Amino acid sequence: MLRKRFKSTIGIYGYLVPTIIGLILFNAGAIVASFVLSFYKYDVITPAKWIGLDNYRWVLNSKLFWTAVNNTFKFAAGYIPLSVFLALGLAILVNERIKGVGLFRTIFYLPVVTSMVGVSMVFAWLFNPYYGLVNYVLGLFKITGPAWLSSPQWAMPAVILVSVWKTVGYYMVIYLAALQNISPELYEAAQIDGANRWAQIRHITIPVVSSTTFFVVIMCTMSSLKIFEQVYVMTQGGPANSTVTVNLLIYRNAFEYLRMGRATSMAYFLFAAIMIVTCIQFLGQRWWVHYE
Amino acid sequence: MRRTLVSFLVVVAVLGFAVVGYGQEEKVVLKYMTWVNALGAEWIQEDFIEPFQELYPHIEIQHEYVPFAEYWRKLMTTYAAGNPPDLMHMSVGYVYDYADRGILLNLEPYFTRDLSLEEYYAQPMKAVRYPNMETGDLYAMPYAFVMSVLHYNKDMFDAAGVDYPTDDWTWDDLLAAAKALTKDFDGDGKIDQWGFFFQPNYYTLDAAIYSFGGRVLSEDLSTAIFDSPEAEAAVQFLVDLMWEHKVSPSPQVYHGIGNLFEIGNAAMVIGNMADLDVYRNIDSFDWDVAMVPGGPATKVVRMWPDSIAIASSSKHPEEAWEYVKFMINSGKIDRYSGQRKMPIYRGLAESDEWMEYDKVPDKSVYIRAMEYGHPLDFRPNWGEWSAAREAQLEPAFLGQMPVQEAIRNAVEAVQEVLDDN
Repeated sequence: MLRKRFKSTIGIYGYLVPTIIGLILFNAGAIVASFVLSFYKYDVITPAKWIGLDNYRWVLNSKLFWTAVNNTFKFAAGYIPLSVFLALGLAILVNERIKGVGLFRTIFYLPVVTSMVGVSMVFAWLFNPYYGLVNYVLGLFKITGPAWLSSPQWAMPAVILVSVWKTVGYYMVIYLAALQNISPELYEAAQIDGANRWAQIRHITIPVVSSTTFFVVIMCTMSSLKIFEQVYVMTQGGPANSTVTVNLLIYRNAFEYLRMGRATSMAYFLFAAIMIVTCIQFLGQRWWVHYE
Repeated sequence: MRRTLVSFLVVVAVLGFAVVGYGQEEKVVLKYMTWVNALGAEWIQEDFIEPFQELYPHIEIQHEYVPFAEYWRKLMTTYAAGNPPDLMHMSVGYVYDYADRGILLNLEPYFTRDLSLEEYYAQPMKAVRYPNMETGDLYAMPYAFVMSVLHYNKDMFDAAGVDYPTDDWTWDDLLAAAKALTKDFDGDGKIDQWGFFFQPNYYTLDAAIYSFGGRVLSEDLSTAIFDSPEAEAAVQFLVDLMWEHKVSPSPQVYHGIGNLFEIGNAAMVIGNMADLDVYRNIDSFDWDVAMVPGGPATKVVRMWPDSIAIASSSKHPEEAWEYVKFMINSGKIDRYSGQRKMPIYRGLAESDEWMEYDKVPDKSVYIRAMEYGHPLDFRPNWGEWSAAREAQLEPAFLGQMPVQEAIRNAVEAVQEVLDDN
């Protein structure tokens, strides 16, 4: 019996080996190497030179880095709540048994599988203040739209909107799975007690899917602190550095400005930020997350 | 099973001998990296590599190509892995920084030994001289170059009764023409035809600053000095085109749309001559090319080359140099850069074949522009400081900050990069 168990454990580890080797070689290796490099002046093409904490000191004193931190948190502050609310809302809607619901699910999910580069180019057109469709439609309601991507004040909100539109379908699907696991008896009982639709959502749906919400919030937090692609394609960090994010700065320093050492020290700041925020979220979950 | 293993070993052994055999014939293999797409790779293969290998059967060129956006990352990786290419295409934005790190071969001795400078355009070649643009040595060899030019829509000029641009045009002439060419046809308060479209990028902005008598960096490249009254006047002039005279679209108008000239919404545009590739396909209007305007101080046409460099670590510099020579003067117009860029070899650029190559523009303007040509400051850490400058000047072009203040911020940001080494 014991031997059999041992054998199957070996088997399980056997299956894990390829992944673990990959992780050690390509992830853990890179993580350790970049930590070491963050203490070096390193441009990749010539040998690295030890400079102690200089990279970290530079990063802390860099105005541009703090602008990037500020922008990144601004993005997170807009993106996370919008994604969670919209994803849950859409999931509740497409959980209804109505005709053509499959079509709606597909439509909302479609942006997730669309290339970000294409999406960004199309939205750059749509957001154009002079020729674009967004401000044209706003104009029909007698609203003068902002300059969106060419305005330092509105570029980040525009990037947030596009990002939410692009990814909300993914979180919708996750919520949908959670919703379909809710036992219908709960709703029946509530109905008998006279709870209306809104009360049912508030007192049954939201608490029951709170563990899913926790997961979605964590995922959204991580992806928003790492935001790169959208700003790289849509705004290149502009206008006037209003959409420069930490990850964009890391990329440019590492691969465009020949400052790999400095880029790795920024990456460690980012890593620390994600770590701390995620820990806080894990600690905070006991006040609002319910597991069945 | 065993039989396949045996035959496999035999094959390996035979192949092994074959490789050793090659070695005895002293076959030279050159690794060659470029930033082209699949079509460009085909052109390079057929127009350069294959004819070259026919001439030099003992040299084999292994071409590896990556898209431009990934090129520098990939090139850096080959250095990190200790396996850099012998030959690599080199951009003006990096040649100084790469030469500064000692990884490019000094081509000056090879050039003076085999070629004579009079046969080549010396102005764009300044971009690859190190450490000094005027007196330094060549650390890469340009094969073709582009310059900033003024393209104009002849139909719009004719309709407005405005004379075509001439070689001695100044910025004031351009402004006067742009005023006559800016139209709101339907009177809805929105401009339908812009007189002049430009983006405040490195070739428009820098050339304007120099033509007003300013400089971007000090001659020793250590100080940002575009806060001089002359440089400020140049930036102010460009901002005024958008916000005071309203003859040029502001970034709010063109963001996300791209080139308003190409879609027939602007009468003039400053672009680079490689736009030929795009404009050649325009059939909805007639266009031609002119020199960029001069300023109160002088006229400056920014010109900058695409080059090929040899790694200082290459074991076969002579063979690599043979390829470089072949590439800059293969004796015919290649399809890769020959059609849309100007060959560095004067004999080819000034040949009837190249001048007549595509009928639309009058290419003699390029030759006449040579006397005003200069690459200007693509160095040091150019990518970083030019991005910093662009970001700080942007509020001025968006009409949200006085020019003087934006310039002050930009000079500070650029200086920070220059001081940081």
